[in-house]
Amino acid sequence: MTLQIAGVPVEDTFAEAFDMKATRLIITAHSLQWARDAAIAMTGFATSVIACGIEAAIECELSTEETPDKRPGVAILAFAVSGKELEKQIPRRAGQCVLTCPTTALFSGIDGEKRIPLGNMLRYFGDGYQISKRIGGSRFWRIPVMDGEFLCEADTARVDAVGGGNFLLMGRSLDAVAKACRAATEAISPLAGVITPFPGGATRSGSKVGSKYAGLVASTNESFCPTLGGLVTQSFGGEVAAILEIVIDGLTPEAIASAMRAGIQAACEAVGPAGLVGVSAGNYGGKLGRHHFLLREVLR
Amino acid sequence: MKGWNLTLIAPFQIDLDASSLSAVGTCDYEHEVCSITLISSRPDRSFVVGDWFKVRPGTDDHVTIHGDVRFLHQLGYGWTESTLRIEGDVGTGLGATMRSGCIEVFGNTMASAGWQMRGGEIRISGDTGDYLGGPLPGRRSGMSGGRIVVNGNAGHHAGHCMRRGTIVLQGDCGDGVGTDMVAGTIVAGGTVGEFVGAGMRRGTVILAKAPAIDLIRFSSPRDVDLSFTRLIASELASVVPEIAEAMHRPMSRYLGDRSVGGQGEILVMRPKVAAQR
Repeated sequence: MTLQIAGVPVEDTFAEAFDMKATRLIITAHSLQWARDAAIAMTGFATSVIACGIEAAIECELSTEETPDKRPGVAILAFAVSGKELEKQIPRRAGQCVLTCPTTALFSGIDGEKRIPLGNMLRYFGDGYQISKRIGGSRFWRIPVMDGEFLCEADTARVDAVGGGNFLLMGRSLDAVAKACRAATEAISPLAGVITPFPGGATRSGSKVGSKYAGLVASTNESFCPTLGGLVTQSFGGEVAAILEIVIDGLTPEAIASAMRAGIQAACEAVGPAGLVGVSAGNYGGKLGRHHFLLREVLR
Repeated sequence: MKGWNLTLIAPFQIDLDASSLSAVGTCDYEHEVCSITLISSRPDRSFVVGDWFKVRPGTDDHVTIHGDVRFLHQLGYGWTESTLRIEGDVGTGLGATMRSGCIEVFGNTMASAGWQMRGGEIRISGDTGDYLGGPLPGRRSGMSGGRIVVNGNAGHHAGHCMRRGTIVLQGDCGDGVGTDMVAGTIVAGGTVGEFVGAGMRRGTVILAKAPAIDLIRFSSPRDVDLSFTRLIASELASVVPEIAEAMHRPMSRYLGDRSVGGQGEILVMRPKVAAQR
């Protein structure tokens, strides 16, 4: 018997996810607005590792009680396919997006043995006027800037993580699937340890590996494009007008499973069977990623 | 590590170098502790711990010394890992070159506590003498890590030649706080004497009460609101809550010592503004 959530059938398939490396950063500022501005800049152009290098997004906003320097802040999570790529992207983005943003400070938000440089690299901007401070077992760099000082932790940790958890919402109309999508991302948003890196948390350009064009590593997944119905083999019928995919990166498989459960539940409850034809998930036959999230187990 | 209780049998009448007592952690039996040699200032006499202390196993891994041991010098030399607790006054050089662990003194210490310490923490409930966290004689660098907290007053030249670490002084202190400092942080909650930060090249001296600062050596004060002081305040909130609370407010910053081309800083906390009716 087909599993149903709020009357919406859920396909008996699985989402295929991959090992990634991740870090969490905390950006604080004089006001939440500045912290948010820096975080948005730093996580900009970070939707997919295919061309952005990393996948990053705001994890949550932090109150003054939750940040190291007792100012309002934002936590962001960043994921990459390798530690080397993370080490390349994080200092570069921190330098151009956080160091430059008025009143901000940057801290590590995660513990681990393997380290990614932050202040250890950005300190050279201080041109000899930078000051090192060891406080509470961590090293910080104070870099003089035009509004005072940019305080930056020397480095942050990188940990093993999982990227590419996903589910597909197959809608009877664009309106319905867009509404379901919003409900899903809003349900996932408060959860710790996960992000949905695509714009608004969802993507319409689900991809397959490779292309007919040489050199292209990914291309449109025609078997999920409703407009190609009748031209290519598809697993759904003509009642599907639009499909959107929620992609989830998480610090642990459990966090991704929780996010998938919350997202699917919220999407189905938001529009019901009148709006959604079904829920599915993207995979590559289980050949590429070692993390398989079976929808029926995730929703159990 | 096994814990020990050492209770002073008779008052000291002779100065003793107790640096060898740091080996107490490696002892398994009472007789081993009792046979640790204490070097005396009298070349014709040598003493062992058993001559002065009654030794009993402890209930935890702490080493506790009961009694006024102000003639016991270099106590806790090179101390690592565990806790050394002294219930009474102590002599000079307490915790010199200590690397980790904790030394607690429920009493006063003489000069040079935390000489060239590298890590760990020293807590002194009473007063301490000159050259707190300073260099060993003949050396040019003082403490290079760890934290010293003094609830009472300190003598002259606290943090002299300090390289890293934190010194927190709740009471008043003498002249020359942070002289020739290279790095690290000193927080003083009471009054300080003259020559604060003289010769400092880097490092931070945070003062609750405004001293007379030499404006030839240091720049004119600028009002600043720095994030790192809030981090230090959070770290010290459980140790010195009143001082920590004041560190969340903007401060006046003096840079110097310019006479040596230094980039150190003296930060003076602003008094709390009373609420207006």
